[in-house]
Amino acid sequence: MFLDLESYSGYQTYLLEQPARLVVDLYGVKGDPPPMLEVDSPVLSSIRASRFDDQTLRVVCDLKAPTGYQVLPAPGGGIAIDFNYQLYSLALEDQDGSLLLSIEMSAAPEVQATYLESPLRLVLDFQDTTLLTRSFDTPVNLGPIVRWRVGQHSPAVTRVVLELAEPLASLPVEERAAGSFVLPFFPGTAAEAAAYLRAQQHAQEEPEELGAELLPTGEGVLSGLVIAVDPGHGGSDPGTIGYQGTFEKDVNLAISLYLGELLSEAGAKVIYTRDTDVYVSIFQRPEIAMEAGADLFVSVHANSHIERGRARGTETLYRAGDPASELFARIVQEELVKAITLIDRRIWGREDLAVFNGSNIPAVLVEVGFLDHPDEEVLLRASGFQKVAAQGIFNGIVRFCLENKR
Amino acid sequence: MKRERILAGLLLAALAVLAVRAIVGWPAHNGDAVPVALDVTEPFYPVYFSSRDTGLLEPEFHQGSATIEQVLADLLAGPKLEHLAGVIPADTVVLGYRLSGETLYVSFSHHLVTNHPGGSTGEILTVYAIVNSLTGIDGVERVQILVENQVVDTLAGHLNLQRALRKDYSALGSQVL
Repeated sequence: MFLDLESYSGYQTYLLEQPARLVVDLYGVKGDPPPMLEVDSPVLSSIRASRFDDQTLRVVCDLKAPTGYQVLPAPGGGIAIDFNYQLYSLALEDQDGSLLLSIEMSAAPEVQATYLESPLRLVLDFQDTTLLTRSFDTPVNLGPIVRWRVGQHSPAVTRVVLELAEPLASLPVEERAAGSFVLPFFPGTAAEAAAYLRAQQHAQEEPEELGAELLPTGEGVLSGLVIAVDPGHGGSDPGTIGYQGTFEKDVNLAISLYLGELLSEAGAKVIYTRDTDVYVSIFQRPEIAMEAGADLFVSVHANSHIERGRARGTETLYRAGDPASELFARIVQEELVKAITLIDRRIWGREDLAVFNGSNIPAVLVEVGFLDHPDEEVLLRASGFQKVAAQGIFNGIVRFCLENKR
Repeated sequence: MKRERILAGLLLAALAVLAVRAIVGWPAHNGDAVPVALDVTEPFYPVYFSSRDTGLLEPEFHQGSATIEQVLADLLAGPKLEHLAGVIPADTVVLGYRLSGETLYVSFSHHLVTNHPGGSTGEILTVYAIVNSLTGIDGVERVQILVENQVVDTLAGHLNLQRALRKDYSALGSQVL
């Protein structure tokens, strides 16, 4: 708010409650008071002025809620008053495994995030904001968050501190409804979150939400099924190696173990071709699946191009000439891309992949992303991303089973 | 005064360069676009490399008679066109070859495996650049890749290389990177 005054000798302000208003008394001001002004602002509702006495003009700013403010006498005359946005409430929520901070505020917050170590913590500074709830400092047990503190750090900054057991980064604030915002978290470091956002922008897809959509599976939706999960490479065969030295075999195993957990929870019997860091020949792998009487075969890999860093995205290979494998690949690819929002490269029928040898069950080999691409390597290393990828593949398996009535 | 003389000198130099260019001709800005005389009586044969535009295989056409030695040498030498990239890992050499019926056995040094970046995409590009290029030669229908004169299970952990492979055009195309 700017009060354009030719001259004044002084001023005094009073913040009053019930109803919330800021009274500004301006001394040494002559002339008639201006008419009342209705204001369309997230902070103010109206501004009234009246003559208090012959030397004093009183300006009353009706506030939607009490808030911090700063009075700035302008060098060329007049007075500017900066009001803070009002922060009504904050809550940490876990929505289907995705952590977020829900925010009720008079306008979209401008948040500065700082990641600090020892102890590991994420500091969120809400700029030009007044906290209208009480300050608090409390232990919590929500994903990697072990404690959170909220308080008015300075007259214009509300500070939220999250103490962490594992890295957590903030993603851009999204508006849910008028005055209602969410700040989603990414389970990883700030660099991993930035890579996640870049990868999403590259795929030119607006993320509807972080993480995979949960299908209405229910317990036992896969019961009676035997599913072979094949983490690619292992032991003396590291698979491809990322810029940061990430071994493909480790990424494949991590995603496969998360996938196996989900499948077991849904009632399936899971057969791993390996569940530790050991070498298993690519010809042995389908044999292990067939001997166990597997109904489905899913091989989990991370990709590389011959020109390192050249390609990115997700693809699913399947046994060529088998319509069931093709449909399986199409559904898994769809659900995985929906979950991790990398580029949807293609599904590709191959008859020369060793892991499809000698079996006749629906079989796919999923290349989750390119480990030789620096952005995608950062994602593939992150346990949060690995879980989302496992959830995407799991969703594909469930959908394939439901749509085909097993 | 001195400054003006320097300026005049620079101007003269620039004019001289322009004059020379006008006589000799401007160099082609793109290596692909240098016009050359083509002898249409000489046949063309394709050698496959990885396209930087599509990320998949693309043929580069060479002129001459396609012999096994020549096609292998072309694969190892890498592409001439700038938008293509080589598919054979560094330091790889050919140890020998043998044509048996319509199956060509080619033995590469261990670098084909040990220097390969991996990935199913990378493996398919290398293997089918070799197979598609060599099956362009009359009389070659299948190619069996050997490493250090031995049959191997695989190159990078995906393809079955225990058997000879036929050409596969599905690794060509307009897939976006």
